Amino acid sequence: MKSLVPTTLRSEERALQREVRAFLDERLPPGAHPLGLGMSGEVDPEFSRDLAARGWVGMALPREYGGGGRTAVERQIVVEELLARGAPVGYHWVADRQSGPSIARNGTEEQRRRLLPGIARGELSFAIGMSEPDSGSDLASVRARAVRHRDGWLINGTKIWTSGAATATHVLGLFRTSEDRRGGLTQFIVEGDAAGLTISPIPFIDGTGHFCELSFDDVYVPDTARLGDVGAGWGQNTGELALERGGVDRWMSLMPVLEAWARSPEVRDSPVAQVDLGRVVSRLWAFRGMSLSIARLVDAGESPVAEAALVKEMATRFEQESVEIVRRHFGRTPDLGSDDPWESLLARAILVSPSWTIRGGTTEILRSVIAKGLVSR
Amino acid sequence: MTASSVSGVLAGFFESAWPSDAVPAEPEGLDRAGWASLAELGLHLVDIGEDHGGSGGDLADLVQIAVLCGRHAADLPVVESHLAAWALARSGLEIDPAHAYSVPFGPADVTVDTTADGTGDGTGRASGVLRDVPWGGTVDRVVAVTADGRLIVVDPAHVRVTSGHDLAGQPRDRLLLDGAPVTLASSAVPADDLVLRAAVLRVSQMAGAMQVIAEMTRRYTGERFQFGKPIGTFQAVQAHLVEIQQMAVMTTALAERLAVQPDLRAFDVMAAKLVANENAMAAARAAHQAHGAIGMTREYRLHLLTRRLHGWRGDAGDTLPLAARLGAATAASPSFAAAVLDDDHRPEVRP
Repeated sequence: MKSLVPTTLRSEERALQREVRAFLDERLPPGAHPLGLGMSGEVDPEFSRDLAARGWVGMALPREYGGGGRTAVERQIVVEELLARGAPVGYHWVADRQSGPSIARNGTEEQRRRLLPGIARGELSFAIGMSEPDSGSDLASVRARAVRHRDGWLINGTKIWTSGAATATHVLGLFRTSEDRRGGLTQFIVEGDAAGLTISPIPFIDGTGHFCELSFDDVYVPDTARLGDVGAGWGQNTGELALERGGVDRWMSLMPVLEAWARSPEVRDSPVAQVDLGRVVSRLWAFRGMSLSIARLVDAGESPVAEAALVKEMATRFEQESVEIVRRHFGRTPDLGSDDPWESLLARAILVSPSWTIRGGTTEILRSVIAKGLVSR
Repeated sequence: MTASSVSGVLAGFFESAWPSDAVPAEPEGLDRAGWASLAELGLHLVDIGEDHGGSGGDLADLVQIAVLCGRHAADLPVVESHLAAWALARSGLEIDPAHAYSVPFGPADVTVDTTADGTGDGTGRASGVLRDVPWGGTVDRVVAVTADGRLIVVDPAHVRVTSGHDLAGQPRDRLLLDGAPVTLASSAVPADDLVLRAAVLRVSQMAGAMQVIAEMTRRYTGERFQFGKPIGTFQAVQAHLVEIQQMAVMTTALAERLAVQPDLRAFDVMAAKLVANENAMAAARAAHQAHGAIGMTREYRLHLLTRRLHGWRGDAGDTLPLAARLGAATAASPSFAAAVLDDDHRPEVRP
């Protein structure tokens, strides 16, 4: 495990932070947008395009494909400000964080030219097709299959528990192309309106409909939909998971709730609540330092997979604990349908927070990743 | 020498003074021979300017030394001597590089009479109590900032010492001053600054101790067989290893983060100490659980580290008062997010 070299924001990075803040103060005044819990923010294509117009979507993608050519740290600065406000990041989130960088790394020149500029303009929205009814944490057991057909492939099978698929323009999925357990997996980029693809919302525990099931019934895709080599899907997918685990989004879901709570009468008038607030703010401050160090490692060309898992595992557990801390001081059961947006958001957090230690790798899987990292030292 | 060769030499010194496989007896007072060899290297005077009689270097160097003190469960007042010497230098007083010093971690309820000698030349007579002074009765001098903001230098030979021990069995004495002669500084270092520096060094020591706890628990669970295989192969035991590693990595990151700040911000130091306190508890608990009965004995090295962690948690900021102050400050600040994200707008808080 690499050591997390301490780092602080440079002056031009702080300038970016101020710039993003000023933009969001104007674009997202309090009360003018539905609050979201971190990466599960609302889907708002117009907001995503506005953000992209400032150069803040696809920031880390190469400039020649319309990206910003910026650093992981700069991207983190933008993401922090968005999540701190519960911004509607849902439309561009997956493409910006995961699919775009994966296409930049693994895609052909044609794919980069075709897809990356649209991602950087905030126009394309991606969903990730990994899990299946019988394949969750054990991704090597994926069964949805792509078979060669004419010049392309025919895809059949089911993907499930996919966030944002109903509003996504593209699905980046992992499919079986041979019987080799890991070496038989290949990634494909399927258009959301492809013939034979049926996307059905699965009502989520809080009543929202972003969670989806994807049914592929003889979906034909050309070979240009294949991302990376045949059989390279497992390795590419693992690389994506590192992108998915390292970030500040893993401990910032609750930020808008905490922002309101910190200045609420419940805290102002209660020394007991202030003790809890002190605990929460300190630990988040500490996590932020670690996330920043990980982003610097990424910028230095490292792939801090074990470090990212180490932070995600404890940060997601702490987020859950924080929900309970806030809830304990609320004094009654918060109402999901409340007119007070932060009460409603707290109620939603109570319901959805168990997902925080599941998505992007369960606590149990992450512990095993970290434990393997310890053995290989 | 390069930075890495310096740290190699340092690690060698600590390994020879406090071997990693030994379980030494608990100290009765100051080990003078041990202190002499440490003082010769001037390790406790790092991050004090050479023009003040220090060894030079910066806070990051000092933090590395404190981490090593934690790793090796060093039973000498290295950190305490540093704090005293630093306070002397900041207050314009001379440092004796051979002296072992200490500072009180409890309140310094002392009043000073500067008229008793009638000279007014930076001396006086002090009365009151200095509590929780590591090695207080056996060091050469104790340095304290009194409640009214004066810096005093006390020779333990002139006070009544009540000997005690901390949870790790290290000397932790109470000094009763009854008109004891003291040296005074004309302009004392602010007590807050001394507390913040003490907190940084305790966080560093805790980080070092947690690093070693992680290493020895990993080793033990790899060697201890039960049910026909190493217990470290059980997922339930691995969860403990992971938690200890997280606590060690996180606390180390905190110490190193504080060390690179241009100046110590109270919010940052207090938040780091609070998190380190909580991490120490979690790491100690998980390490003992993973070790089972052997970790509960004084024949095995784990107790040297976990007992120190329990003691250090209470020094220079215990968990509850830190959390209360940080929480009150955050509640009064304009933005929670800024407290977490913005280096320029941390809540105002005092240790």
